[in-house]
Amino acid sequence: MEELSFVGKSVPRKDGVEKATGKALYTVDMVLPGMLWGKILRSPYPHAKILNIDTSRAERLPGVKAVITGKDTLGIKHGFVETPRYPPDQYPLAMDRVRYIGEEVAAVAAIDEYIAEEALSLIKVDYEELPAVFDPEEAMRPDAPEIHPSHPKVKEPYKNIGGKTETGWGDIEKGFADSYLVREDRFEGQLRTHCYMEPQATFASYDLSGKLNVWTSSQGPFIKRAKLATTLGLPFNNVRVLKAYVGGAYGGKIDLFSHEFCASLLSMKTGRPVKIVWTRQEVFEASRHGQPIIVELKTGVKKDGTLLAQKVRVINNAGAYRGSGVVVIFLCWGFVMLSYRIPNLKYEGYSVYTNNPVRAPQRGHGAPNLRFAVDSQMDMIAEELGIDPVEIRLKNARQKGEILPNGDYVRNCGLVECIERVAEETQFKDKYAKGKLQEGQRIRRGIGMGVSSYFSGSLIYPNASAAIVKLNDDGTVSLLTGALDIGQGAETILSQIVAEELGVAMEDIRVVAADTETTPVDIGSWISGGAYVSGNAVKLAASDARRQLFEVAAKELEANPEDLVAKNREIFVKGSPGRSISFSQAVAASIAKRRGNPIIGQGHYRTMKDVPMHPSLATTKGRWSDNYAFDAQVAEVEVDTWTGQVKLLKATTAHDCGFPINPILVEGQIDGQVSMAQGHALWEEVLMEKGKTLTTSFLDYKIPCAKDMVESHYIDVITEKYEKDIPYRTKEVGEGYVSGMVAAIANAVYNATGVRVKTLPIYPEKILMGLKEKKKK
Amino acid sequence: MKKQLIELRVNGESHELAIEPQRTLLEVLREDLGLTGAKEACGTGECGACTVLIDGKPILSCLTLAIEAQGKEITTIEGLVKGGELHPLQKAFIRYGAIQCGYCTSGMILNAKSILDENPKPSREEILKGLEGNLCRCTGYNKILDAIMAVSIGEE
Amino acid sequence: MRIPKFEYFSPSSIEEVCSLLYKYKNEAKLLAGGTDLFVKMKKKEVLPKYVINLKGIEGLDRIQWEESEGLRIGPLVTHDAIVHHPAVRGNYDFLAETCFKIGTRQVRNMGTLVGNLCNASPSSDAASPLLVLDAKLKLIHLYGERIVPLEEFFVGPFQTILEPQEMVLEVQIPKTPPRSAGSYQYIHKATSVGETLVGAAVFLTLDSKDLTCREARIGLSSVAPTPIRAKVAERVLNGKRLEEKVIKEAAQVASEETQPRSRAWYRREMSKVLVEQAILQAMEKIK
Repeated sequence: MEELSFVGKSVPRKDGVEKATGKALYTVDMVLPGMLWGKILRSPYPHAKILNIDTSRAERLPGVKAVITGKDTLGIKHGFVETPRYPPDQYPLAMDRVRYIGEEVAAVAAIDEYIAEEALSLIKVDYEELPAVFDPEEAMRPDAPEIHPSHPKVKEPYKNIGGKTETGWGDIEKGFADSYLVREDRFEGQLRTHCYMEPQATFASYDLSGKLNVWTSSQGPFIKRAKLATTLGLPFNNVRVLKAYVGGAYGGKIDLFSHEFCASLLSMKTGRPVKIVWTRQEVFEASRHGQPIIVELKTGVKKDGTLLAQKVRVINNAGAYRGSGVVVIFLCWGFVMLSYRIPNLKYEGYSVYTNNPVRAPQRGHGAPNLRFAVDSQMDMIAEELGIDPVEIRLKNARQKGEILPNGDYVRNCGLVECIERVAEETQFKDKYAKGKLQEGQRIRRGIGMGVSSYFSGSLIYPNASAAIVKLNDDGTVSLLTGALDIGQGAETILSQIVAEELGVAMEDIRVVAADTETTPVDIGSWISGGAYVSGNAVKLAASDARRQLFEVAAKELEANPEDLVAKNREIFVKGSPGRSISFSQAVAASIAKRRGNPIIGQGHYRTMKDVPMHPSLATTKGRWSDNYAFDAQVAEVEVDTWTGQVKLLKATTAHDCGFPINPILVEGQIDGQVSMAQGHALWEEVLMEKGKTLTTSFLDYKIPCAKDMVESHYIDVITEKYEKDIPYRTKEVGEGYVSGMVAAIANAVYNATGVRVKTLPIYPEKILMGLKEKKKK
Repeated sequence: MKKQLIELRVNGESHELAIEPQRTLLEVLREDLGLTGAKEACGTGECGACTVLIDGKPILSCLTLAIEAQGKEITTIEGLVKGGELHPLQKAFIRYGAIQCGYCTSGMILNAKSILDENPKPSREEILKGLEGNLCRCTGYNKILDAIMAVSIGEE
Repeated sequence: MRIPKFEYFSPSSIEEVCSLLYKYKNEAKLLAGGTDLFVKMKKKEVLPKYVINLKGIEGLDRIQWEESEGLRIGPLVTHDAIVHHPAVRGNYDFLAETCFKIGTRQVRNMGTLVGNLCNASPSSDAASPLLVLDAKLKLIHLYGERIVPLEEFFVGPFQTILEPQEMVLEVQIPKTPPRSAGSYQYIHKATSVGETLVGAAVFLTLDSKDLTCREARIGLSSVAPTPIRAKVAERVLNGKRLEEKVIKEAAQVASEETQPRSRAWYRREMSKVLVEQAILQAMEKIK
């Protein structure tokens, strides 16, 4: 096999120098002459009618340049999902009603932040409070206050159903009847949040030619452009969303946010640049957090642990608007059926409106909570059957070549190898056996496993990625890609691919990225398809450029294009090192002899090229993805049985990501996910009381700090390879590894203490209580 | 409030500025001097993204008045590059994969510098304890620790 | 997040500070480290018209140790300075350890001990060790001064007896007797940094020969509206030989003296565990 020079190597980040020297510009850093500061007025009520808004006093305050309310907008709704079944349900600024505390009611632009803030206090809003509901199961009751009319197609005795997913296969009742053991458990995931370090921020600058330029802390410019253009009534080509570095996102910056709309509209009204930066308190109180789901799980197995039937009911507390709630109940089905074979399944998921802030995807989008439920119960079943946790997983794990119940083909799958290798490396069976023999000791060790699987790109707007690779006269390269580097290293791996395909050094490549005006479309950094979909688009563009270069070079060198190789901006004839021309000469020859062709390579890619659209969110019918990643993770914990405090000592991740394009970046993704899982499992929780957020700072909502660092180990299970010219199938590495780890931690805590915690987070008092109850028995 | 004339020494250069007293050092560095390397992530002293060095010690510039920083030597991330050459910590952060989104990086590197200046051979635990006030949501801190350890043993 | 506007003073003497405080009273706030004040101002919980910076005054950052009287800590002494001061490390090691636990590296460089006490958070870490060390505060105002035990200083969550025209000039910590030692044990709300969920300080003086407790003092943070002394538990220990049963009983009694609001069951349980640990560690140090 041809040896690779760039792909598969831990080359340093393309943006490393800019970021290490403080020169990388984020949205919060943007300034332009004449800039105004924008601020948002938010609803203090969880549910209320807006009777009247008087902005006159605010408008009269010197220094205030514009005040907008719902009346100043076109009244066009938007939504994370916009389909005939699930039409958009949220105004960018509230019109006649507010449905959660923090909902945007008005916005101002002023010459400084002090004046903008004062202006907010001068806006008088008359509300009429309405009854509100916060708990999803209460909201489903027939007597609950109605937040939106339930979806008409969902014929249920329940209220406030924003969406429902219902699917299944086989004969569920027969499956349970044939089972040796049937378990029913209820698991609850908590409300947690992303904690991106850069708060939400937007900088909008409208010019008199009718063009709106927007820098915004996001996860992909093309979806932002589409939603801004639609809600503002502008043609797409007049909305330019430009690249700014993004200070973390993790799913929390995908959808259109009100402040992006407001900064744009305020800039349009004033003709001046407008910047809105949220305070951290606003982020906690009003931004979109993750999805807290309840999972009711009934599982039937044979005596040997083989799964026979599973009945899954998922309830999502979606908040006041649909957000991604209807996606998460679809995805939870997928995360159930991907990892283990289930011959008979009945799945139903409800996304329920409540008077809480809207929800967003958060890294794993349902998978961490769902896998916590499934893999916790898997251990409970294994224990009842007297089977080892490793064996029961091996028995049920998906394998290469299987056809999933939805028709997707598992072309490659390293799950079995992941489970085997992670068990071996961590000496799982020994430690697991020892874990149970520590009765009476204060400090106990425990080990636990979780597995997860994740899709790598699916079909959702804009559905495709394209790329352009331009040769410059000296043979250096410009890569134009719509992909946005949010820290995961998109620009770096895309450059590695160009370097590999073309035979140029990393330094020879300049990346122009994430600009809706100058770069081609991209799926965005939020559908776990960056390396796969955008990567292949770039690969095709680079190999197109190389093909053109070689055509020219072949003529000049009097050789066949197939006999040429490129290295260091030089094209050689294989086997005759003396016969070569430089890229620079080839470009000059192309311009001179091929009607001025300067050599521009183009490529585009789409996952599942023969599938028209995303599967149905309601029925799961249709193909979902053609590329699945798998992992098995082991957590090793220490529990102080006097205090209930849990320390995550070591995390080992065995993963099938196809192959890593940049191992050090993949390791970084794993470390970050282990850390997020640690917080998720052990202490992170957004506390709310009647729609009001109680945890409003990093003091109240703790994320892991350096002292909490977990020793992280990695095992690569390689199932795919990179070959020049043809598309490759590397898989996602950004979301799956937060998902197995939560369950692994919960299982490790059980192994250490014998206490099974089914509601996250695993607060120490839950362990202490559990230990006390065990003692009583 | 009346503006006051102050003089700040930042990265070895003196700047005369007329500012209102409530302006924080972070605001003045970013908005008046264009040194946007220091970031605000919380504004209330919990995240460390705004860390700069005052007379070599790491402080939170979001809770320090610019007016209080007069007569002191302020070092920001922009001041670490000397003669076009990156500081060893900057190089190591790049090489060891210690940077992802980069938003915490400036504060992290400056605090790391102060840790090494105080004790060139810190233990793993001393480094992690020293970094407890610099939150990073991307990296899990593993590669950050690798980078700092590498510098402490003379690697770059 | 911006700090609301204010008028700024940077006086160069205590007298000047006192006259400004006397003049503006509640409308003025003193600035030392700023780590509490500016957070509260940004959140608009406190909106002073005038901010008086103490940093222009010489000598307020001094720690003074006298063999006969003990330790005096000025209002600009930072946590970091306490951590590193030889007299503190030598005579009140657990106070230095506690200060090393407070905040973060950056906060310890900025925040002051006196500021921490004036903030009067129920979860103040520094308060418990100082309570068991019988610390006193010297308060001054334009026309006089008074010395109050720290125990009387706190009156409620974020409330002290400090009058609007008063300032804390120093913390006084008496010299410790022979065969004595202290310990501070704590657990955090979450993660390994941040607010303390329960903190327990114990200061023991043992008999010259054996393990009989001459005097025990127990201080608790974050389990009541203010940091408190657990005096009933102290009486359980006083005069007794410190054996397991007595220690456990004292820990139990201490936990009954707490009045936690949130996570009450867990805080009580932890008070018990931590008091016991602190007693054992203090005994260990004396041996």
